[in-house]
Amino acid sequence: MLPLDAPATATERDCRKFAGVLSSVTSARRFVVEALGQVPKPLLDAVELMVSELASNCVQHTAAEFEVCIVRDKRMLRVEVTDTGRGLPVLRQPAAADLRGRGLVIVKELADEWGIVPQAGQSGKMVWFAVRRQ
Amino acid sequence: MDELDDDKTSNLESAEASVDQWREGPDALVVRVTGEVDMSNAASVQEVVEQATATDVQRLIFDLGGLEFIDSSGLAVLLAAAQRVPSVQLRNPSPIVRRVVEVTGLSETLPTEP
Repeated sequence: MLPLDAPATATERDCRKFAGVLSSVTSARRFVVEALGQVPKPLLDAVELMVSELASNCVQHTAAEFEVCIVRDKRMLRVEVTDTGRGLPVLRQPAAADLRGRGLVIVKELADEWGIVPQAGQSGKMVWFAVRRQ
Repeated sequence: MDELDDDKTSNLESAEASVDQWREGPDALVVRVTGEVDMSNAASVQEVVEQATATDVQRLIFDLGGLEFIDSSGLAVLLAAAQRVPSVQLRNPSPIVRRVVEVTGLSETLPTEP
């Protein structure tokens, strides 16, 4: 018998790599929106925004290649953004007057779960978020 | 309209936005941003919005009804304007824009027009 938390269906995984340039933020958004075309708009809007924030962090802080993976089954969508840059992203509490520093705040507020996974034995990290499908 | 495109030469995938503006009533300037704003074109949008609001503006309304996407780099453009102009309001923000403004604690700085 399957445990209760086993995926209800097979898990699909789509990944794509992007150069560490500004236009890759747009490309990463397009990749995710195209892959998740059938997802209801409110959820898709939130996922697209979170991808944009995480891709922006990669491009801004590392300028190195990054990879976006979409993992999904019937119950949830998970997006993983991995780069090889040094340092870990920081969840800030920007004041209203601060122009920047809201990327991870947005992920924290819109995702059901999220996290940062340092890459063992090398520089880089994976930042991921997951949302439940209704 | 000013067509904005940061990266004309190499990549068709950069976000594209247009900005136009008009006066409304005795003291308001409406700046309409349509299309998409992310980090790939936020600097261009910022430049055009700064030019639009360089004159003495007391009340600024950002019309976001035609905005298909904006992230925190685009929000930073709106915030920068809110620091220069005494009163800034959003017109027709989409549900996701309203939600983001709310969860980032910016509802007072970037209120939606009544």
